Amino acid sequence: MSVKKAIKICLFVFLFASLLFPVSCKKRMPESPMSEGQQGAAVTGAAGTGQGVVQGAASGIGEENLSSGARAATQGVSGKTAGSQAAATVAREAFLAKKLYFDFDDAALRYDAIGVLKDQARWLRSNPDVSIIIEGYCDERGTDEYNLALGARRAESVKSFLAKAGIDAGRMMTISYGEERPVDPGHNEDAWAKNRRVEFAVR
Amino acid sequence: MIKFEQRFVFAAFIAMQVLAFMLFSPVRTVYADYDYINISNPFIRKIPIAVPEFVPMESDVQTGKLAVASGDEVSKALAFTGYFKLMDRASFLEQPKEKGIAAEDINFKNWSDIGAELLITGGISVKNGLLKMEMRLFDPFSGRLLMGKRYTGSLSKERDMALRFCSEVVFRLTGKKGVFNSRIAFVSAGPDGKGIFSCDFDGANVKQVIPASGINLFPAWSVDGRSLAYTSYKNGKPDIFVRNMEKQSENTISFKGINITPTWVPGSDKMAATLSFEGDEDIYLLTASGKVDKRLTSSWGVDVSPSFSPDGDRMAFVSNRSGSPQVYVMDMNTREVSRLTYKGNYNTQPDWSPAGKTIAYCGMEKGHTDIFMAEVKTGKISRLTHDAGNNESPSFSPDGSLVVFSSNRDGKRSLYVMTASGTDQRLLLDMPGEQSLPAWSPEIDHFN
Repeated sequence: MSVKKAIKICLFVFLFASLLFPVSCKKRMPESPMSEGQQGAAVTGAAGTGQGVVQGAASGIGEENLSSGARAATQGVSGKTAGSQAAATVAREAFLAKKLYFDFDDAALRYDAIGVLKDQARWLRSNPDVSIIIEGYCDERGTDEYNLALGARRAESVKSFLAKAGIDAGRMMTISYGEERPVDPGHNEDAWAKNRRVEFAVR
Repeated sequence: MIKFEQRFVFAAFIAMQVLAFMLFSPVRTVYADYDYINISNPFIRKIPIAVPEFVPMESDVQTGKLAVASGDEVSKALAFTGYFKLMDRASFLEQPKEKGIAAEDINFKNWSDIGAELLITGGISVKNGLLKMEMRLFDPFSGRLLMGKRYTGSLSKERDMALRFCSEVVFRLTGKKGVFNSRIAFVSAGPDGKGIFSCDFDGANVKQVIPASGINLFPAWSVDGRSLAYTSYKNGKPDIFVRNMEKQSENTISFKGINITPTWVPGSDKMAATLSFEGDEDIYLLTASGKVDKRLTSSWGVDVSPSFSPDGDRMAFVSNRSGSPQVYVMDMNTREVSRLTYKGNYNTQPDWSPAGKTIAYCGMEKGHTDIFMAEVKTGKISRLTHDAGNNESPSFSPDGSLVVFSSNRDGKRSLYVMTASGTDQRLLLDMPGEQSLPAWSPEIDHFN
């Protein structure tokens, strides 16, 4: 729960910060030289501790509470770069937090998924070194075998949309968990709606 | 596990004993001139059978206890089949314990008068750790001995001897050996994940095959019952593993994407499974070593859960080519596909009956899953489970008389058994965690 909360706070602060800085992240991010390893470290810190809260955005200085692994990433860099780096972390967190939802026994992308996928494609384009895993899930209704295949189909639907949006298929791997690993263990429509989903992970 | 030589000696020894017993028994085995069990619907009327307490041939405590246990073992195993109604021992007019277990000791009128259509007597003796069990099946109305056996072996073989005799009884009455030498593989979920387990036909002797951690699914037996295939995420994604149960060795089938729902083709060492390495979930025929032989389905969308007719000429499978998951049948020679199920929007998990005429499957109605049976020729459907939670994953016993399935009718998902007509639904085994995806093995000759 605390990770979710942290992500929410990050998003809020990010939105607020982006109002103050009219320069878009998209433009700035390629300028910030950040290796794959550093990115990974930053994310580990934020997700691992659940305390990666960005503070003092109004002063233009991003400050994060990171776990030991992420120390090197932020130390000794100028306020400006640290800020964009924090923004990059937030953008990455936002990418990973996105979930797409599906109708029962359906792998077709819903209308509300299209906007989300356009954002995902945008992030992938600005982070060309990142390879991702698209994970398909189902709700508990129906049977295990078919649901495992349906989850694969859902992940493939997302992959093929992103491929059409210009993302190299070689950067995208799909996996299905079928009925396994529900986010909501409930046995009602609310829970089922949350469990019929596609999630994103970074390889 | 007994070594092969030991088994051979044991089998030869038993064979000799049985032969001797049959030669010297006072009443020669005469084949019945009428059917005791109506094969086309054997569960309409259960045969009343009397199984009085088995008789200890020595008067020591151990033999006495073993005699009671063996009699109960035989009673329970026969009741499990669904063919018999075990008669209340309180109604018996005579006790073989007092009079004896052979034909000349029995007043058959005492048994026919209480309505016993079959009678089983048994005697037990233990000498120097060697167990001797003799059991007889009588028809009290004609006063005939239908079948008699004497088994000799170590004390640990008591259950095997009892079940072997039950197997002979059922064979004598139905022409089929029954379920007694089969096992059931299944998935059991614990706090750390799902593992693969197996148990005897009646839920006894639960053994762990794959520990309950991570995700392990879809156990399937090879045609000879020596190998068990399953799907596992142990390498990070769903791959198929084929485990040789004797050598404890494993082969992996791991193509890009999903590798799920393996099944063997009858009469061969080939398998069929759903793979998605070409971007679509299709059923492929695989060689024994796990190489792709050919692609069997090619329609866009999901094709899963192959199950073959006993002759291997046809394959039932699930496809959503029509927009919802339905059961289809493919002719393996012409590759022609016909749709079997039309009622409802969710019909999956086909299991072809060993007799070949019907296919059991799981159908969804108003959000609940139930077990149905479809006649292959006519598509005629009968429903086997009603108003009892969700019922899934039907799997036929090797003789086709019983079906194991999973149900959450009592709260958590557990394994249940019923007759192929849907009668006698009961819990198969009571174990912690949730059990699902049962697969009934072919006959495994573990008696020898």
